[in-house]
Amino acid sequence: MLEEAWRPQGRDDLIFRKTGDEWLLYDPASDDIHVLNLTAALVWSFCTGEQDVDEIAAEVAKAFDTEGTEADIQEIIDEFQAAGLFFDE
Amino acid sequence: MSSGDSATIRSTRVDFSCGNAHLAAALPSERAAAWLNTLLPEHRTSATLEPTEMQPHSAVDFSIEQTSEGWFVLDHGLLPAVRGPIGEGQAWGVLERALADRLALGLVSSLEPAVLVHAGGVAADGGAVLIAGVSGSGKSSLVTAFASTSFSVLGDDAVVLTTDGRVHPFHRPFKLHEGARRQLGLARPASEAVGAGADPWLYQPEELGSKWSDPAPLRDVIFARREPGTDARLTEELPAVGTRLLLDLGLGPVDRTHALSRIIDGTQGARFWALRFDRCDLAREVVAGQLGLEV
Repeated sequence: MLEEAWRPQGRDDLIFRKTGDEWLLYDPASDDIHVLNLTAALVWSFCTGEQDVDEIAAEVAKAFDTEGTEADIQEIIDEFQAAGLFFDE
Repeated sequence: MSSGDSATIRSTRVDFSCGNAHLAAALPSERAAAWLNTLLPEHRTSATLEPTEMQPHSAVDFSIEQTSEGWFVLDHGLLPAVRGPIGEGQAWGVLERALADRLALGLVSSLEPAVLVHAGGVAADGGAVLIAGVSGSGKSSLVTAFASTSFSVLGDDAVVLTTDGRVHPFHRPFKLHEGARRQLGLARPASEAVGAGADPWLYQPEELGSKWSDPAPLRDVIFARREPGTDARLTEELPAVGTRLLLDLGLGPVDRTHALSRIIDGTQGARFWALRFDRCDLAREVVAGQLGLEV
């Protein structure tokens, strides 16, 4: 049986705000502030637990009207995960 | 600037009480109230100092009344020990050092759309320039250097930033250490006459040739750092970096999630800068030149 693809979901206690040309993601648990560029901010906005990584990559590619971004999107999501910004699987 | 909720701090009443026989003897309640009102003239302030037999460390209560919502007791603190009779000037100094920040912190904590920022500030051309930095970074000296020209002042060490992007003055005497006083060529302040001017010296803006500013829209935030022997150098910072720095320097509210949101709202559209400097007069010229300020 195929395992269902992971659907990353951002923790709902994080503060996600735009400032200048960048976005801040504040983690009150660790007091860390993550600075996101436009691509990372867009990826984060899709991390709602409703789409898997491939689907998020497709959404981002569509938004930027480009292709071949899967590896970049995976890297961004890996960084979010390493920072503990998602709900546990 | 963003269009967040506007602050309504003019309707606030501050009540202050403490029980300490020595303080009460030196500074009767009506004088304490008058003194508090010089700090926060936009607020109706009253004070009660009871001559009791309490311990030298005496409890302090702050109460804040917002007309639409009733009374709030916001803080309970301790004054420094006052173990013997003191003069009125010393009593002012004790209160000023112990209470001013706590009072302001209590105020901004009670007001949803505001944050107390650890920064000095000057205003000109209809806009406010904040000079932020850790203690000893030269904030007061730099603000004083601007105050001696055409700028009005918002504070030397703390100002209130509201989420509508306006900076409100924090009416507290400027503190300048002896070295800064000499570098700026200032006479000893009048407050020395009542004993409150021990190093650091306490100056009112008028003694610096300036005046308190009205609330002004924020236009620039400068993070100052004094580096002996360096030329003054001003470089732009990313808003994200500046926001983080302001948060780390923040005095209140304590809840950093709220503080961050308020800082982001209050600084929308503002520019952030890093300043390395040694001499205040040169730093003032560089800042004014790069920011297009008339001094």
